Amino acid sequence: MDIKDCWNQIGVRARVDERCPKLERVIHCHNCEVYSRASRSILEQDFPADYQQQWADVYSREEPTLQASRFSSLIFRLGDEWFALAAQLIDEVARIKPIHRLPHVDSRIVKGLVNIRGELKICVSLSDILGLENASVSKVGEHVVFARIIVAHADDGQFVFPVSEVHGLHQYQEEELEGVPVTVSKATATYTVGMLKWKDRHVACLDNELLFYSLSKKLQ
Amino acid sequence: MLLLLFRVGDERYGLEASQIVEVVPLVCLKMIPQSPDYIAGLFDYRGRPVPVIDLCRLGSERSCKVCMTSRIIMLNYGVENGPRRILGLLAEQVTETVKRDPAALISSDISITAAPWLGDLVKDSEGMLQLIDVDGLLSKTVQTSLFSAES
Repeated sequence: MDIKDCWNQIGVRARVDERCPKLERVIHCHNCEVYSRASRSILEQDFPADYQQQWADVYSREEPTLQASRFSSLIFRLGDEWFALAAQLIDEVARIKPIHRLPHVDSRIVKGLVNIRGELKICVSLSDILGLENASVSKVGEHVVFARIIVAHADDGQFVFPVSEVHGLHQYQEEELEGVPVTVSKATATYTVGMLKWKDRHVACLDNELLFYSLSKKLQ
Repeated sequence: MLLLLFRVGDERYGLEASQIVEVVPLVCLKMIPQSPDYIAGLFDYRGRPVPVIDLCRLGSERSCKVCMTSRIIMLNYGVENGPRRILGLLAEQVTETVKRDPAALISSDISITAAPWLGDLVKDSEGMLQLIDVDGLLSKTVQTSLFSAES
């Protein structure tokens, strides 16, 4: 095939004083129609062996129906355990802030007040609801871990709770949700709708309705 | 409107992109014996047979070159009094799309009975290019012979 590589002779790649007059208009050879025509002419060649048959096989099959991930959840860690909470309930993941303790309030559930964008919100302890022990122990592995505050909403208001670490969003199909194994501690199992496989570990997907219901009950 | 450009013989043609389902490589086609020479063959497209028209045969004396830039344009084709079908058009140098203002179309004012598929003209820097009028591609008899068995 005969291609006249003017971009190497008088174009931007050339180390000569006399440049192509078209450069004034197109600035770079990439924008020039001569260049794009030459690149298209590369396709003007015979098929590689089996190319036609391969594509014929591809198109003779039924069109694969791409199933969109229908569920998305935020994955976070409380102490040693990872949990997932439906992403549509999450309003914000904020940096950890000072939590002002309230006097004469059950400090196991209510941790105190926290300032979220100028609004004082009651900060609750999710680990106490879930009955986790040593939830405050933050296991630092090889990477730097940042504690966060999650702002989530339910039908009857917002809930703010600190977590040891937030991974991010994870998308999954309904069938990926596995049953809760019997070995999971009772308190956690109550609030879990299923287990999600994420990376090499299992994550408990939290039952948000039940969780927020019992949270608001306990706050009353 | 967006136009898909291609060549038939040495002439440049365009097709309105809104009618196009997909552009696929020139795959192996099943020959149809005793069919007109502009029917390149049957394409097993997702499990259903789709007739492919060789536009080069329709517009010039030779068949399309067998090379990478010759592609099959799959388009929605409306048969009279029938559901919409898919028809394949084989053309050369199917490599480019351009946007054109529909107001910039020029009516050719010439109707050639033998080629009712010629549509409006568009001018650009390389000269004129002609749009393909999809409804005029197949004569009624060919339409019924290609699609009647399916309906």
